[in-house]
Amino acid sequence: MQILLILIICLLIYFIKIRKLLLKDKQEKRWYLLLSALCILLAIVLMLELPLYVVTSFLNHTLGEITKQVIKI
Amino acid sequence: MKQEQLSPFQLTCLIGNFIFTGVIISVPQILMEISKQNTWIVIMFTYVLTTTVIYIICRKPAKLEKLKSIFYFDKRPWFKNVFISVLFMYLLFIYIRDFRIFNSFIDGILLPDTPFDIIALLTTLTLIYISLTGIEVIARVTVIHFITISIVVILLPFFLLNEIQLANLLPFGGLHSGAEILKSTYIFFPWMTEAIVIVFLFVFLHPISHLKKAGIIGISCGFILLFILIFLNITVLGVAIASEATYPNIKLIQQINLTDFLDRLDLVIEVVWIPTMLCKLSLLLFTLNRLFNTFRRKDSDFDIVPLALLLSLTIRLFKNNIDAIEYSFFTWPTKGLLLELIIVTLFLMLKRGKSHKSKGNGQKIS
Repeated sequence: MQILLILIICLLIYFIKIRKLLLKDKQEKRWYLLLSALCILLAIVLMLELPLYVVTSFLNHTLGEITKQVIKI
Repeated sequence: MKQEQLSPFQLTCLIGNFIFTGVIISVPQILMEISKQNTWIVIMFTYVLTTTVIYIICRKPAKLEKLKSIFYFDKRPWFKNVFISVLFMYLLFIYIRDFRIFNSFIDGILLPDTPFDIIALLTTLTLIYISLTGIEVIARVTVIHFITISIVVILLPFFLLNEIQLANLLPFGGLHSGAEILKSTYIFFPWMTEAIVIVFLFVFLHPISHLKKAGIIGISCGFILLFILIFLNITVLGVAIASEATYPNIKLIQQINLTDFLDRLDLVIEVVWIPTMLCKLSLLLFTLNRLFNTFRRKDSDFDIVPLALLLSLTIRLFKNNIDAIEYSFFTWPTKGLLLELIIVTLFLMLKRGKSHKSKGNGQKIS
C-alpha cells in the first residue's frame, strides 16, 4: 500500500510539472498515461502479493539448470 | 536523436565502469568456489576472449560510421527492429539483475532497517535525475567516479600489504585445474561481455576511428582492476573464506588494518563504489529510454519517469536474496551468453549488409 501511494504521488507530481508540454502532444500524453497505468497495475499486483517471482523461478529452473550441468561436467 | 557526443576517453571509462562495477559485488564468490586458487588465470583467459569479441565488433570504423543511423526514428527494415528488440531485452535483463543486487547489498549491509521498497524507490529517483541529464553528463560523472574507484583499487594492495599471504596461491595448477578454469570462464565470460553495450554507445563517439582503441582500453582497465581484487581475495582471505562469503570484496576491505585508528576504511571504500554502480544503472536507464524512444519514434524524455518507476518494481521479481543470487550465478551466464551471441551476430550482419549496400550504391552512381 505504502509503495503504491508513493508511486502515485511521484507520477502525479511529474504529471503536474510537465502537463503543459504533454497537452501539446497527444501521442506523448497517451504514452505517459499508458506507462503510468502499467506502473500502478504492477504495484497493485505486488500489493495483492501475487507471485510474480514465478517468472524468475522458472528461468532459474531451466536456464539455471543448464549452467549447473555445465559446471558439473 | 539529439547531437550528443562522447570522447574516446569518456567511452573508455564508460566501458570500464560498465564491466567492473557490477561484477565485484558477488561474482568472485562463485568463481573461487569453482576454480579455487587458480581464479586469477580465469580473469586473463576471459580477457583474451572478451577483447576478441570487441575487436571483431569495432574493426573497420568506416562501416560503423554508416551504421550510426541505426537508432534513428525513421522507418526501419524488420531486421533492424529485431536487433533493437534483442538489445533492449538484453539491457533490460542487466538492469533488472543489477538493480536487484545493488539494492539487496544496500539493504543487507548499509541500511538494514530501511524498507526494501523505499531503498529501491530512492535509488530510482536518483537514477532518473542522472539519466534525464543525458549521455554527456552521465559520461562526465562516470569518469570522475571510475577514476576514483580505480585509484582506490590500485592502492588496495598497499593497504593490505601486511595481510597478504602468497602461499594461498599454491598449489598452482593441479589435476582438474584446466576443467575448473573453463567452467569458471563459462560463468564469467557473459558478465564481462556486457562490454557489447558499445554497439549502442558507438553512435555517440566522435571520432569513430578511436572506437576500437577506446573499447579495448576500457576492457583492459576493467580487467586489471578485477585482477587486483581477485588476486587480493585469494591471497588475503584465502579460497576457503572467499568462496563462502556472499560479498567477498566487503570481507576483503574489512581486513584493512593500517594502524590502531584506521581500521574502518571499508565504509569509505563502499561510499566510493556506490556512485560507480549508480553510474552504470543510470547509463542502462538512459539506454533503455533511448531504445524505447526508437520503437515509438519519439525523441523525448517524458516517459523516463514512469518507465523507471515501473522498473523499480521489478525487485519483486525475485522471491528473496537467494533467488536473486541464484539468478545471477546460474541463470544469467546461459541467458546472457545466448543474448550476446545473437546481438553480436545481428550487429555483424547489419555492418556487413550496410557496407554491401553502400558498395552497390557506389557502383550505381559511377
